[in-house]
Amino acid sequence: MRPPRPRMTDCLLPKIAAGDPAAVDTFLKRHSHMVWGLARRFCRSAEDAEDATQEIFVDVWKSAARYDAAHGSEVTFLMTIARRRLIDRARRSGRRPAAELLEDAGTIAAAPHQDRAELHDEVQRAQAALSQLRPEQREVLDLALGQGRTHQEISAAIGIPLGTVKSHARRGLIRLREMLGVEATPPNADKDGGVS
Amino acid sequence: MSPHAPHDDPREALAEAIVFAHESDPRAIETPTGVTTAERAALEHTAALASAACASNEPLPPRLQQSLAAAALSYCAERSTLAANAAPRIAAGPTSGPGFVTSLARRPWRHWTSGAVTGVAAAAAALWFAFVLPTRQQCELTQSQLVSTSAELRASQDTLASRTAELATRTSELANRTTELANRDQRLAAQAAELAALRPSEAELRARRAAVLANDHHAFHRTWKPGPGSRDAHFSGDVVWSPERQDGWLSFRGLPKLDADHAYQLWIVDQRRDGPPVDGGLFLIENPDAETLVPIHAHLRVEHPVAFVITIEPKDGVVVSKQEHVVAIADS
Repeated sequence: MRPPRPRMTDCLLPKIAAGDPAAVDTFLKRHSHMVWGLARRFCRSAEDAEDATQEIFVDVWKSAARYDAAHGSEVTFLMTIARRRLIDRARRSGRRPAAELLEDAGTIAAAPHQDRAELHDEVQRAQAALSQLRPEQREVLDLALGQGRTHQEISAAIGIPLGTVKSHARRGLIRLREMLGVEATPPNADKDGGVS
Repeated sequence: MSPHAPHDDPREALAEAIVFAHESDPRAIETPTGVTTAERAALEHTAALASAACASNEPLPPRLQQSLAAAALSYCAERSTLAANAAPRIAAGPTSGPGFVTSLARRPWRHWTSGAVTGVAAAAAALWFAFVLPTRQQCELTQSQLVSTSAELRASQDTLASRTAELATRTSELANRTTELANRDQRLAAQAAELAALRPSEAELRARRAAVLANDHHAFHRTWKPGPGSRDAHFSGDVVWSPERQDGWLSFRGLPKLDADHAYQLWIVDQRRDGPPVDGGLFLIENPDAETLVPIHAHLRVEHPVAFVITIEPKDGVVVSKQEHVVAIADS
Protein backbone atom coordinates (compact mmCIF):
# COMPACT_ATOMS: atom_id res chain seq x y z
CA MET A 1 0.00 0.00 0.00
CA ARG A 2 1.38 3.42 -0.86
CA PRO A 3 1.07 6.48 1.33
CA PRO A 4 -1.55 8.94 0.18
CA ARG A 5 -0.18 12.07 -1.42
CA PRO A 6 -1.82 15.24 -0.14
CA ARG A 7 -4.25 16.83 -2.55
CA MET A 8 -3.00 19.96 -4.22
CA THR A 9 -5.52 21.99 -2.22
CA ASP A 10 -3.89 20.58 0.94
CA CYS A 11 -0.39 21.65 -0.04
CA LEU A 12 0.37 24.85 1.82
CA LEU A 13 4.07 25.10 1.01
CA PRO A 14 3.71 26.81 -2.41
CA LYS A 15 1.52 29.49 -0.80
CA ILE A 16 3.97 29.82 2.07
CA ALA A 17 6.77 30.33 -0.44
CA ALA A 18 4.75 33.24 -1.81
CA GLY A 19 4.40 34.71 1.69
CA ASP A 20 0.68 34.00 2.18
CA PRO A 21 -0.01 34.77 5.88
CA ALA A 22 -3.13 32.57 5.97
CA ALA A 23 -1.14 29.57 4.67
CA VAL A 24 1.60 30.14 7.23
CA ASP A 25 -1.00 30.34 9.99
CA THR A 26 -2.74 27.15 8.86
CA PHE A 27 0.60 25.36 8.54
CA LEU A 28 1.46 26.25 12.13
CA LYS A 29 -1.92 25.09 13.40
CA ARG A 30 -1.58 21.85 11.46
CA HIS A 31 1.94 20.86 12.46
CA SER A 32 3.32 22.89 15.37
CA HIS A 33 2.15 20.49 18.09
CA MET A 34 3.92 17.58 16.41
CA VAL A 35 7.20 19.47 15.90
CA TRP A 36 7.09 20.78 19.46
CA GLY A 37 6.45 17.25 20.76
CA LEU A 38 9.50 15.94 18.91
CA ALA A 39 11.70 18.87 19.96
CA ARG A 40 10.73 18.38 23.62
CA ARG A 41 11.90 14.80 23.51
CA PHE A 42 15.09 15.64 21.59
CA CYS A 43 16.28 18.75 23.44
CA ARG A 44 17.88 19.13 26.81
CA SER A 45 15.60 21.86 28.13
CA ALA A 46 12.23 23.40 27.37
CA GLU A 47 13.96 26.64 26.32
CA ASP A 48 16.18 24.76 23.89
CA ALA A 49 13.14 22.94 22.50
CA GLU A 50 11.33 26.26 21.97
CA ASP A 51 14.32 27.72 20.11
CA ALA A 52 14.60 24.55 18.01
CA THR A 53 10.88 24.61 17.11
CA GLN A 54 11.10 28.22 15.93
CA GLU A 55 14.30 27.54 13.98
CA ILE A 56 12.65 24.57 12.26
CA PHE A 57 9.58 26.49 11.12
CA VAL A 58 11.55 29.50 9.87
CA ASP A 59 13.79 27.10 7.95
CA VAL A 60 10.80 25.30 6.45
CA TRP A 61 9.15 28.55 5.34
CA LYS A 62 12.33 29.77 3.70
CA SER A 63 12.81 26.39 2.02
CA ALA A 64 9.17 26.11 0.94
CA ALA A 65 9.92 27.17 -2.64
CA ARG A 66 12.03 24.02 -3.06
CA TYR A 67 9.14 21.70 -2.12
CA ASP A 68 8.08 19.30 -4.85
CA ALA A 69 5.06 17.12 -4.09
CA ALA A 70 6.38 14.46 -6.46
CA HIS A 71 9.24 13.71 -4.05
CA GLY A 72 7.33 13.46 -0.78
CA SER A 73 4.49 14.81 1.28
CA GLU A 74 4.34 18.06 3.17
CA VAL A 75 4.79 16.19 6.46
CA THR A 76 7.82 14.31 5.14
CA PHE A 77 9.36 17.59 3.95
CA LEU A 78 8.72 19.21 7.33
CA MET A 79 9.94 16.29 9.44
CA THR A 80 13.07 15.73 7.33
CA ILE A 81 14.08 19.34 7.96
CA ALA A 82 13.03 19.09 11.62
CA ARG A 83 15.17 16.02 12.15
CA ARG A 84 18.16 17.69 10.46
CA ARG A 85 17.86 20.82 12.56
CA LEU A 86 17.51 18.89 15.82
CA ILE A 87 20.56 16.79 15.02
CA ASP A 88 22.51 19.94 14.01
CA ARG A 89 21.60 21.66 17.27
CA ALA A 90 22.67 18.66 19.32
CA ARG A 91 25.96 18.57 17.44
CA ARG A 92 26.52 22.34 17.72
CA SER A 93 26.02 22.28 21.47
CA GLY A 94 28.47 19.41 21.74
CA ARG A 95 26.01 17.52 23.85
CA ARG A 96 23.99 14.45 23.38
CA PRO A 97 20.23 15.01 23.22
CA ALA A 98 18.47 15.14 26.56
CA ALA A 99 18.05 12.05 28.68
CA GLU A 100 14.75 13.49 29.80
CA LEU A 101 13.05 16.79 29.94
CA LEU A 102 12.50 18.33 33.33
CA GLU A 103 8.79 18.40 33.88
CA ASP A 104 7.43 21.44 35.61
CA ALA A 105 6.04 20.28 38.90
CA GLY A 106 2.29 20.46 38.92
CA THR A 107 2.08 20.50 35.16
CA ILE A 108 1.06 17.51 33.15
CA ALA A 109 1.95 17.23 29.50
CA ALA A 110 -0.58 15.60 27.22
CA ALA A 111 -0.06 11.88 26.94
CA PRO A 112 1.80 10.81 23.80
CA HIS A 113 -0.35 10.34 20.72
CA GLN A 114 -3.44 11.89 22.22
CA ASP A 115 -5.94 13.43 19.82
CA ARG A 116 -4.99 11.00 17.10
CA ALA A 117 -7.87 12.27 14.99
CA GLU A 118 -6.03 15.57 14.64
CA LEU A 119 -2.87 13.98 13.37
CA HIS A 120 -1.98 13.86 9.70
CA ASP A 121 -3.13 10.65 8.01
CA GLU A 122 0.43 9.82 7.04
CA VAL A 123 1.65 10.08 10.62
CA GLN A 124 -1.22 7.88 11.76
CA ARG A 125 -0.16 5.30 9.19
CA ALA A 126 3.42 5.50 10.48
CA GLN A 127 2.18 4.99 14.04
CA ALA A 128 0.13 1.99 12.96
CA ALA A 129 3.13 0.55 11.12
CA LEU A 130 5.38 1.10 14.14
CA SER A 131 2.93 -0.78 16.31
CA GLN A 132 3.20 -3.76 13.97
CA LEU A 133 6.97 -3.99 14.34
CA ARG A 134 8.51 -6.41 16.79
CA PRO A 135 8.41 -4.77 20.25
CA GLU A 136 12.20 -4.61 20.53
CA GLN A 137 12.50 -2.99 17.07
CA ARG A 138 9.79 -0.49 18.01
CA GLU A 139 11.53 0.40 21.28
CA VAL A 140 14.90 0.94 19.60
CA LEU A 141 13.42 3.16 16.86
CA ASP A 142 11.42 5.14 19.40
CA LEU A 143 14.49 5.82 21.54
CA ALA A 144 16.77 6.61 18.56
CA LEU A 145 14.46 8.49 16.18
CA GLY A 146 12.03 9.89 18.72
CA GLN A 147 14.43 10.82 21.51
CA GLY A 148 17.87 11.02 19.90
CA ARG A 149 19.41 8.39 22.18
CA THR A 150 22.75 6.84 21.21
CA HIS A 151 23.05 3.13 20.65
CA GLN A 152 25.13 2.85 23.84
CA GLU A 153 22.39 4.56 25.84
CA ILE A 154 19.71 2.36 24.32
CA SER A 155 21.78 -0.72 25.08
CA ALA A 156 22.09 0.38 28.71
CA ALA A 157 18.43 1.41 29.03
CA ILE A 158 16.91 -1.74 27.57
CA GLY A 159 19.61 -4.12 28.71
CA ILE A 160 20.48 -5.69 25.35
CA PRO A 161 23.89 -5.94 23.61
CA LEU A 162 25.10 -3.12 21.36
CA GLY A 163 25.07 -5.28 18.23
CA THR A 164 21.47 -6.27 18.86
CA VAL A 165 20.46 -2.61 19.21
CA LYS A 166 21.98 -1.84 15.81
CA SER A 167 20.39 -4.91 14.26
CA HIS A 168 16.93 -3.92 15.54
CA ALA A 169 17.48 -0.36 14.28
CA ARG A 170 18.40 -1.22 10.71
CA ARG A 171 15.90 -4.03 10.27
CA GLY A 172 13.17 -2.03 11.96
CA LEU A 173 13.66 0.94 9.63
CA ILE A 174 13.74 -1.23 6.51
CA ARG A 175 10.64 -3.12 7.62
CA LEU A 176 8.90 0.15 8.37
CA ARG A 177 9.69 1.45 4.90
CA GLU A 178 8.26 -1.72 3.38
CA MET A 179 5.06 -1.44 5.42
CA LEU A 180 4.61 2.26 4.62
CA GLY A 181 5.44 1.72 0.96
CA VAL A 182 7.68 4.80 0.85
CA GLU A 183 8.62 5.16 -2.79
CA ALA A 184 12.21 5.28 -3.99
CA THR A 185 11.80 8.54 -5.86
CA PRO A 186 15.03 10.12 -7.12
CA PRO A 187 15.68 13.23 -5.07
CA ASN A 188 16.39 16.66 -6.50
CA ALA A 189 19.77 18.25 -6.03
CA ASP A 190 18.53 19.45 -2.69
CA LYS A 191 20.52 19.13 0.50
CA ASP A 192 17.67 18.13 2.78
CA GLY A 193 17.44 14.45 2.31
CA GLY A 194 16.08 14.61 -1.16
CA VAL A 195 13.00 16.52 -0.23
CA SER A 196 12.78 19.20 -2.78
CA MET B 1 22.23 -13.57 10.27
CA SER B 2 23.06 -13.17 13.92
CA PRO B 3 22.59 -9.70 15.34
CA HIS B 4 26.33 -9.58 16.05
CA ALA B 5 27.40 -10.66 12.59
CA PRO B 6 28.50 -7.94 10.17
CA HIS B 7 25.68 -7.10 7.76
CA ASP B 8 26.46 -7.68 4.11
CA ASP B 9 23.41 -5.86 2.78
CA PRO B 10 24.49 -2.27 1.98
CA ARG B 11 20.91 -1.14 2.55
CA GLU B 12 21.12 -2.34 6.15
CA ALA B 13 24.37 -0.45 6.69
CA LEU B 14 22.74 2.71 5.36
CA ALA B 15 19.59 2.19 7.45
CA GLU B 16 21.71 1.90 10.61
CA ALA B 17 23.64 5.07 9.74
CA ILE B 18 20.39 6.98 9.17
CA VAL B 19 18.76 5.84 12.42
CA PHE B 20 21.85 6.89 14.38
CA ALA B 21 22.60 9.99 12.28
CA HIS B 22 22.66 12.05 15.50
CA GLU B 23 25.85 10.24 16.50
CA SER B 24 27.77 11.45 13.46
CA ASP B 25 27.49 14.16 10.85
CA PRO B 26 24.38 13.19 8.81
CA ARG B 27 25.82 14.95 5.75
CA ALA B 28 28.91 12.78 6.00
CA ILE B 29 26.90 9.58 5.62
CA GLU B 30 27.96 8.04 2.35
CA THR B 31 25.59 6.10 0.14
CA PRO B 32 27.07 2.58 -0.09
CA THR B 33 27.73 0.99 -3.44
CA GLY B 34 24.63 -0.87 -4.61
CA VAL B 35 22.18 1.57 -3.04
CA THR B 36 20.60 4.24 -5.23
CA THR B 37 20.11 7.82 -4.09
CA ALA B 38 16.39 7.21 -4.47
CA GLU B 39 16.51 4.29 -2.02
CA ARG B 40 18.51 6.43 0.38
CA ALA B 41 15.94 9.20 0.15
CA ALA B 42 13.17 6.68 0.83
CA LEU B 43 14.94 5.49 4.00
CA GLU B 44 15.49 9.06 5.17
CA HIS B 45 11.84 9.89 4.54
CA THR B 46 10.84 6.79 6.49
CA ALA B 47 13.04 7.91 9.39
CA ALA B 48 11.43 11.35 9.26
CA LEU B 49 7.93 9.84 9.35
CA ALA B 50 8.93 7.53 12.20
CA SER B 51 10.19 10.56 14.14
CA ALA B 52 6.81 12.19 13.61
CA ALA B 53 5.05 9.02 14.71
CA CYS B 54 7.16 8.85 17.88
CA ALA B 55 6.57 12.50 18.74
CA SER B 56 3.93 13.32 21.28
CA ASN B 57 1.26 15.74 20.11
CA GLU B 58 1.56 18.36 22.82
CA PRO B 59 0.09 21.85 23.23
CA LEU B 60 2.59 24.65 22.68
CA PRO B 61 3.58 26.90 25.57
CA PRO B 62 2.03 30.39 25.15
CA ARG B 63 5.49 31.98 24.86
CA LEU B 64 6.36 29.72 21.91
CA GLN B 65 2.99 30.39 20.27
CA GLN B 66 3.67 34.10 20.44
CA SER B 67 7.23 33.87 19.16
CA LEU B 68 6.11 31.63 16.27
CA ALA B 69 3.35 34.09 15.40
CA ALA B 70 5.88 36.93 15.42
CA ALA B 71 8.31 34.95 13.26
CA ALA B 72 5.47 34.17 10.83
CA LEU B 73 4.59 37.86 10.55
CA SER B 74 8.21 38.78 10.01
CA TYR B 75 8.59 36.13 7.29
CA CYS B 76 5.40 37.20 5.46
CA ALA B 77 6.33 40.90 5.69
CA GLU B 78 9.77 40.09 4.27
CA ARG B 79 8.21 38.15 1.37
CA SER B 80 5.71 40.95 0.78
CA THR B 81 8.50 43.55 0.64
CA LEU B 82 10.52 41.45 -1.78
CA ALA B 83 7.49 41.00 -4.03
CA ALA B 84 6.70 44.73 -3.90
CA ASN B 85 10.24 45.65 -4.86
CA ALA B 86 10.30 43.16 -7.71
CA ALA B 87 6.89 44.12 -9.15
CA PRO B 88 7.71 47.51 -10.83
CA ARG B 89 10.71 46.07 -12.64
CA ILE B 90 8.69 43.12 -13.88
CA ALA B 91 5.71 45.27 -14.96
CA ALA B 92 7.79 47.97 -16.66
CA GLY B 93 10.07 45.71 -18.65
CA PRO B 94 13.78 46.06 -19.05
CA THR B 95 13.94 49.16 -21.28
CA SER B 96 11.27 51.54 -20.02
CA GLY B 97 11.89 51.87 -16.29
CA PRO B 98 13.72 54.54 -14.32
CA GLY B 99 17.03 52.81 -14.93
CA PHE B 100 16.59 53.28 -18.64
CA VAL B 101 15.73 56.96 -18.20
CA THR B 102 18.84 57.49 -16.13
CA SER B 103 21.04 55.85 -18.71
CA LEU B 104 19.43 57.91 -21.43
CA ALA B 105 20.15 61.14 -19.54
CA ARG B 106 23.74 60.10 -19.24
CA ARG B 107 24.22 59.09 -22.84
CA PRO B 108 27.55 60.74 -23.76
CA TRP B 109 26.69 61.16 -27.39
CA ARG B 110 24.03 63.72 -26.47
CA HIS B 111 26.73 66.17 -25.40
CA TRP B 112 28.82 65.83 -28.44
CA THR B 113 25.69 65.76 -30.62
CA SER B 114 24.60 69.24 -29.37
CA GLY B 115 28.19 70.49 -29.74
CA ALA B 116 28.29 69.02 -33.17
CA VAL B 117 25.39 71.21 -34.29
CA THR B 118 27.72 74.20 -34.66
CA GLY B 119 30.33 72.12 -36.43
CA VAL B 120 27.77 70.59 -38.69
CA ALA B 121 26.34 74.06 -39.48
CA ALA B 122 29.81 75.42 -40.31
CA ALA B 123 30.59 72.39 -42.38
CA ALA B 124 27.21 72.71 -44.09
CA ALA B 125 27.93 76.36 -44.99
CA ALA B 126 31.23 75.36 -46.55
CA LEU B 127 29.76 72.39 -48.23
CA TRP B 128 26.78 74.52 -49.41
CA PHE B 129 29.09 76.15 -51.86
CA ALA B 130 30.85 72.98 -52.79
CA PHE B 131 28.03 70.50 -53.10
CA VAL B 132 24.84 72.65 -52.46
CA LEU B 133 21.84 70.29 -52.71
CA PRO B 134 23.15 66.93 -51.49
CA THR B 135 24.80 68.47 -48.38
CA ARG B 136 21.68 70.55 -47.57
CA GLN B 137 19.65 67.34 -47.43
CA GLN B 138 22.16 65.82 -45.00
CA CYS B 139 21.90 68.90 -42.69
CA GLU B 140 18.12 68.66 -42.66
CA LEU B 141 18.43 65.00 -41.70
CA THR B 142 20.73 65.83 -38.74
CA GLN B 143 18.32 68.55 -37.51
CA SER B 144 15.49 66.04 -37.72
CA GLN B 145 17.46 63.57 -35.56
CA LEU B 146 18.07 66.26 -32.93
CA VAL B 147 14.36 67.09 -32.74
CA SER B 148 13.56 63.40 -32.38
CA THR B 149 16.08 62.96 -29.56
CA SER B 150 14.67 65.97 -27.74
CA ALA B 151 11.15 64.56 -27.95
CA GLU B 152 12.43 61.23 -26.68
CA LEU B 153 14.02 62.94 -23.70
CA ARG B 154 10.79 64.76 -22.84
CA ALA B 155 8.86 61.47 -23.03
CA SER B 156 11.38 59.85 -20.71
CA GLN B 157 11.01 62.69 -18.21
CA ASP B 158 7.24 62.19 -18.27
CA THR B 159 7.71 58.47 -17.66
CA LEU B 160 10.01 59.22 -14.73
CA ALA B 161 7.40 61.53 -13.18
CA SER B 162 4.78 58.84 -13.64
CA ARG B 163 7.01 56.20 -12.00
CA THR B 164 7.69 58.53 -9.07
CA ALA B 165 3.95 58.90 -8.51
CA GLU B 166 3.52 55.12 -8.70
CA LEU B 167 6.28 54.65 -6.16
CA ALA B 168 4.59 57.06 -3.76
CA THR B 169 1.34 55.13 -4.11
CA ARG B 170 3.09 51.82 -3.46
CA THR B 171 4.87 53.25 -0.39
CA SER B 172 1.48 54.28 0.96
CA GLU B 173 0.13 50.77 0.29
CA LEU B 174 3.08 49.23 2.10
CA ALA B 175 2.44 51.46 5.11
CA ASN B 176 -1.19 50.29 5.16
CA ARG B 177 -0.04 46.69 4.88
CA THR B 178 2.33 47.17 7.81
CA THR B 179 -0.55 48.48 9.88
CA GLU B 180 -2.65 45.48 8.87
CA LEU B 181 0.15 43.13 9.91
CA ALA B 182 0.49 44.86 13.25
CA ASN B 183 -3.27 44.44 13.82
CA ARG B 184 -2.95 40.80 12.85
CA ASP B 185 -0.11 40.41 15.35
CA GLN B 186 -2.40 41.71 18.07
CA ARG B 187 -5.17 39.32 17.05
CA LEU B 188 -2.74 36.37 17.06
CA ALA B 189 -1.47 37.34 20.51
CA ALA B 190 -5.07 37.40 21.74
CA GLN B 191 -5.70 33.99 20.19
CA ALA B 192 -2.52 32.66 21.82
CA ALA B 193 -3.77 33.86 25.18
CA GLU B 194 -7.11 32.12 24.56
CA LEU B 195 -5.30 28.89 23.67
CA ALA B 196 -3.22 29.14 26.82
CA ALA B 197 -6.41 29.40 28.82
CA LEU B 198 -7.58 26.12 27.27
CA ARG B 199 -4.64 24.11 28.69
CA PRO B 200 -5.74 21.52 31.28
CA SER B 201 -6.10 23.06 34.70
CA GLU B 202 -4.82 21.46 37.88
CA ALA B 203 -8.41 20.55 38.71
CA GLU B 204 -8.85 18.79 35.35
CA LEU B 205 -5.64 16.83 35.88
CA ARG B 206 -6.79 15.72 39.28
CA ALA B 207 -10.10 14.73 37.73
CA ARG B 208 -8.27 12.53 35.21
CA ARG B 209 -6.35 10.90 38.03
CA ALA B 210 -9.57 10.35 39.99
CA ALA B 211 -11.19 8.83 36.91
CA VAL B 212 -8.34 6.31 36.57
CA LEU B 213 -8.67 5.38 40.26
CA ALA B 214 -12.44 4.99 39.95
CA ASN B 215 -12.65 3.13 36.65
CA ASP B 216 -9.37 1.33 36.02
CA HIS B 217 -9.41 -1.67 38.35
CA HIS B 218 -5.99 -2.78 37.13
CA ALA B 219 -4.33 0.54 37.98
CA PHE B 220 -1.30 0.42 40.26
CA HIS B 221 -1.94 2.58 43.37
CA ARG B 222 0.43 2.60 46.35
CA THR B 223 1.56 5.10 48.97
CA TRP B 224 5.18 6.15 49.32
CA LYS B 225 7.51 4.67 51.95
CA PRO B 226 10.84 6.35 52.80
CA GLY B 227 13.84 4.83 51.08
CA PRO B 228 17.18 3.96 52.74
CA GLY B 229 18.43 7.44 51.98
CA SER B 230 15.63 9.28 53.81
CA ARG B 231 14.60 7.31 56.90
CA ASP B 232 14.08 10.52 58.86
CA ALA B 233 12.17 12.34 56.12
CA HIS B 234 8.55 13.26 56.69
CA PHE B 235 6.69 13.18 53.43
CA SER B 236 3.54 11.59 52.15
CA GLY B 237 1.87 10.89 48.82
CA ASP B 238 1.15 8.11 46.42
CA VAL B 239 1.67 6.82 42.89
CA VAL B 240 -1.03 5.94 40.35
CA TRP B 241 -0.22 4.10 37.09
CA SER B 242 -2.63 2.80 34.50
CA PRO B 243 -1.04 0.04 32.36
CA GLU B 244 -3.99 0.32 29.99
CA ARG B 245 -3.59 4.05 29.37
CA GLN B 246 0.20 4.10 29.90
CA ASP B 247 -0.41 7.19 31.99
CA GLY B 248 0.07 7.99 35.65
CA TRP B 249 0.94 10.52 38.33
CA LEU B 250 3.07 10.91 41.42
CA SER B 251 1.90 13.05 44.31
CA PHE B 252 4.03 14.37 47.15
CA ARG B 253 3.73 16.62 50.15
CA GLY B 254 6.79 17.35 52.28
CA LEU B 255 9.45 16.11 49.83
CA PRO B 256 12.40 18.53 50.18
CA LYS B 257 13.39 20.99 47.46
CA LEU B 258 16.80 20.06 45.97
CA ASP B 259 19.72 22.31 45.09
CA ALA B 260 20.14 23.49 41.46
CA ASP B 261 22.56 20.67 40.55
CA HIS B 262 20.22 17.78 41.38
CA ALA B 263 16.80 16.46 40.44
CA TYR B 264 14.52 13.62 41.47
CA GLN B 265 14.31 10.74 39.00
CA LEU B 266 11.63 8.06 38.87
CA TRP B 267 12.38 4.40 38.12
CA ILE B 268 9.74 1.76 37.41
CA VAL B 269 10.35 -1.92 38.01
CA ASP B 270 8.34 -4.00 35.52
CA GLN B 271 7.88 -7.65 36.41
CA ARG B 272 8.03 -8.72 32.75
CA ARG B 273 11.20 -6.84 31.85
CA ASP B 274 14.72 -8.03 32.25
CA GLY B 275 17.43 -5.45 32.66
CA PRO B 276 17.45 -2.18 34.57
CA PRO B 277 14.29 -0.40 35.74
CA VAL B 278 12.49 1.80 33.23
CA ASP B 279 13.34 5.50 33.36
CA GLY B 280 10.17 7.36 34.43
CA GLY B 281 11.47 10.92 34.07
CA LEU B 282 12.96 13.74 36.10
CA PHE B 283 11.05 16.20 38.28
CA LEU B 284 11.60 19.02 40.75
CA ILE B 285 9.80 20.03 43.89
CA GLU B 286 9.23 23.78 44.07
CA ASN B 287 7.06 24.04 47.16
CA PRO B 288 7.49 21.21 49.68
CA ASP B 289 4.59 22.44 51.82
CA ALA B 290 2.03 22.15 49.03
CA GLU B 291 0.88 18.94 47.38
CA THR B 292 2.78 18.50 44.11
CA LEU B 293 1.33 16.45 41.23
CA VAL B 294 3.94 15.12 38.79
CA PRO B 295 3.21 13.34 35.48
CA ILE B 296 4.95 10.05 34.82
CA HIS B 297 6.86 10.13 31.54
CA ALA B 298 7.86 6.48 31.06
CA HIS B 299 10.35 5.91 28.25
CA LEU B 300 9.19 2.36 27.63
CA ARG B 301 5.86 0.59 27.98
CA VAL B 302 5.15 -0.54 31.52
CA GLU B 303 2.59 -3.32 31.63
CA HIS B 304 3.26 -5.04 34.95
CA PRO B 305 4.72 -2.58 37.47
CA VAL B 306 5.74 -3.99 40.84
CA ALA B 307 7.64 -1.03 42.27
CA PHE B 308 8.18 2.70 41.75
CA VAL B 309 11.44 4.12 43.12
CA ILE B 310 12.55 7.76 43.50
CA THR B 311 16.28 8.56 43.51
CA ILE B 312 18.27 11.79 43.65
CA GLU B 313 20.46 12.19 40.56
CA PRO B 314 22.47 14.93 38.80
CA LYS B 315 20.13 17.55 37.28
CA ASP B 316 20.27 16.07 33.74
CA GLY B 317 19.44 12.57 34.98
CA VAL B 318 21.17 9.27 34.32
CA VAL B 319 20.48 6.37 31.99
CA VAL B 320 21.01 3.74 34.69
CA SER B 321 20.90 4.72 38.37
CA LYS B 322 23.50 3.56 40.88
CA GLN B 323 20.70 3.94 43.48
CA GLU B 324 23.02 5.69 45.91
CA HIS B 325 20.29 8.05 47.11
CA VAL B 326 16.96 6.22 47.18
CA VAL B 327 14.40 8.63 48.57
CA ALA B 328 11.09 6.83 48.29
CA ILE B 329 9.67 3.45 47.30
CA ALA B 330 6.13 2.37 46.45
CA ASP B 331 5.90 -1.38 45.93
CA SER B 332 3.60 -4.31 46.12
